[in-house]
Amino acid sequence: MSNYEISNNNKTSRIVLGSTVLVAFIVSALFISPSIAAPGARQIKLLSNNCLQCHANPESTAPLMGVAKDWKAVIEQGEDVTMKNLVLGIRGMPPLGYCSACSEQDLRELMRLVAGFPDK
Amino acid sequence: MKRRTFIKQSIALGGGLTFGAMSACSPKGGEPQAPLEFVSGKTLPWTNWAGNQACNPSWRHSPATADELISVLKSAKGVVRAVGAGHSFSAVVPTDDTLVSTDLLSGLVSYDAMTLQATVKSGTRLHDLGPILNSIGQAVPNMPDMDYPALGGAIVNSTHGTGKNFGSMGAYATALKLATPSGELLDCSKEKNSEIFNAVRASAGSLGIVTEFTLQNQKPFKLTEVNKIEPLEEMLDDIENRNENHRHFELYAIPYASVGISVATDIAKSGEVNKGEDDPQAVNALRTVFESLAWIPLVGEALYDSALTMILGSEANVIRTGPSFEVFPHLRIVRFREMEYTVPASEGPACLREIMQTIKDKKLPFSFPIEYRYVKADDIWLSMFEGQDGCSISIHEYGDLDFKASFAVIETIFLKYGGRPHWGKIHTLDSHQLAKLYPRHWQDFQEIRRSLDPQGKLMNTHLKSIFGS
Repeated sequence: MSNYEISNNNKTSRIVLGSTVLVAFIVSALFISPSIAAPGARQIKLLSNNCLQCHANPESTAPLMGVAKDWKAVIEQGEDVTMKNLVLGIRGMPPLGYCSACSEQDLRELMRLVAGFPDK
Repeated sequence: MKRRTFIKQSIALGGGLTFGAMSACSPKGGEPQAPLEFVSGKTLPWTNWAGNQACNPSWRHSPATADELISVLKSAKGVVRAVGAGHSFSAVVPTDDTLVSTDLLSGLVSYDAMTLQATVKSGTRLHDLGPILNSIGQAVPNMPDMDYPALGGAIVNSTHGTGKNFGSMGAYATALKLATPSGELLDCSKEKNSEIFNAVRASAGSLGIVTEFTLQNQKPFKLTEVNKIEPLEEMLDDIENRNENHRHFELYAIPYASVGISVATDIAKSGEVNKGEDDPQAVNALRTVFESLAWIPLVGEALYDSALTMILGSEANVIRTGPSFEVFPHLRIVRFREMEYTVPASEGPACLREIMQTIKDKKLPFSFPIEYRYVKADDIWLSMFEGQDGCSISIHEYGDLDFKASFAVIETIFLKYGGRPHWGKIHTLDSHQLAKLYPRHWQDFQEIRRSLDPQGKLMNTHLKSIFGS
């Protein structure tokens, strides 16, 4: 077929979640906790494919990325408990946050980014 | 139905009638029991969405390109399984050897504005698929009622929506690329490797890992979905008209209740607006009422039916309207386990009626609504819809409750009506039983499987059970 080839993989992310919106989410999270390392391109794709389907969707009832008050209780329970809940799943949160491609390090970094965990 | 109101009313009613007697049967919040432990620094366990399948894979891979995937397959150790979103209830994913995630194999590859076809990578989640296609002036004709799965998992497990004129997801694939266990990349379509094409689209991932699909789409369209509370028997008596008069129709039967929920979806008309709220927690409220009333000796079931009829009967319709990819899916945040069989379309009403009666007769502890849908016949070898229009009936149980004994009772009814189990959902059939359900192509499929995977690299315990060693 006469296709319009799209070679840039990142275009998908921009189509799915406008880059402005995605950047706004990440910037807002980094603003809450400026010490968090910015995610790489791979982690941004994992974030977009998985985390943001709920944590950027007010209808999901999940805590929203960049909304500090939504994460108060999560941050109070600490990173270790949150990490365990993330890996095993809890309430509406699926195991691994749907992210089968995520390593433990990916999950920790994305958890800190999405929830806005402060420095230890 | 204003389900927010439903929750308030039903919880108040349930709580008011139980006088604190709930402690022995109170809901646990729908929490599945995590089957594996997580220890930081050790192997990261994998668990499916429902929490009933898990594994500790020694090697994990997340290829971002077909070449990377080929390289992984050539060097993979032990049993290799692929995973997308992990939304299957059956054990199609678990392996303690090599787990390949398709998460990074996602996004648009190419499209053709004239033919309305688009090639999409297999790891693309359905929730991304709609916006991607919309941005290029296309839309899939039909979708499942939730959009968490990856496209690849959805197709190879015969995932479907509802609508007598619409096939399963795989029916809209015109071509695909299959990475075989030996590391070949095969182009498959009706014209090329057609037998493999017909086998892969319902294979439970036993033939290789699909890297991309070409989908036959249509121009973007808007839908309006109307939810109503209606007597179940009236809906079943009128089912042919409902299917004929609506682009999509499905219903939810509520165990022990005489009323159910109809869901009719059609092309949106000018001026239609959203009304009411679609509340994914409504099933928890239903459970509360059920557990508050149904246990009461002699009168519990009647009380429950009366309470639901009273509560639901006062509710208004819920109307959802918008782009198709926003109307087809619903939120699913209450964890459950699901068994689904597809019976011949003509057998649907009788099968559902027998299920409902059996639940009452045997006092099975179901309160989760039973989903009832229609799907058009296709020619995919091991599709539940192969050669016949199908009626798919889905039984659910809350994630923290044991489902096995109750599901077993219902499964015998499905088998009596010639039901075929959904590849991605719970069932207990083995290869000998399944072979009888697919007399036309079971052996054809097995020959393709053995030729593509002679060493059984993709065969985990579950796949060995359903396809044979």
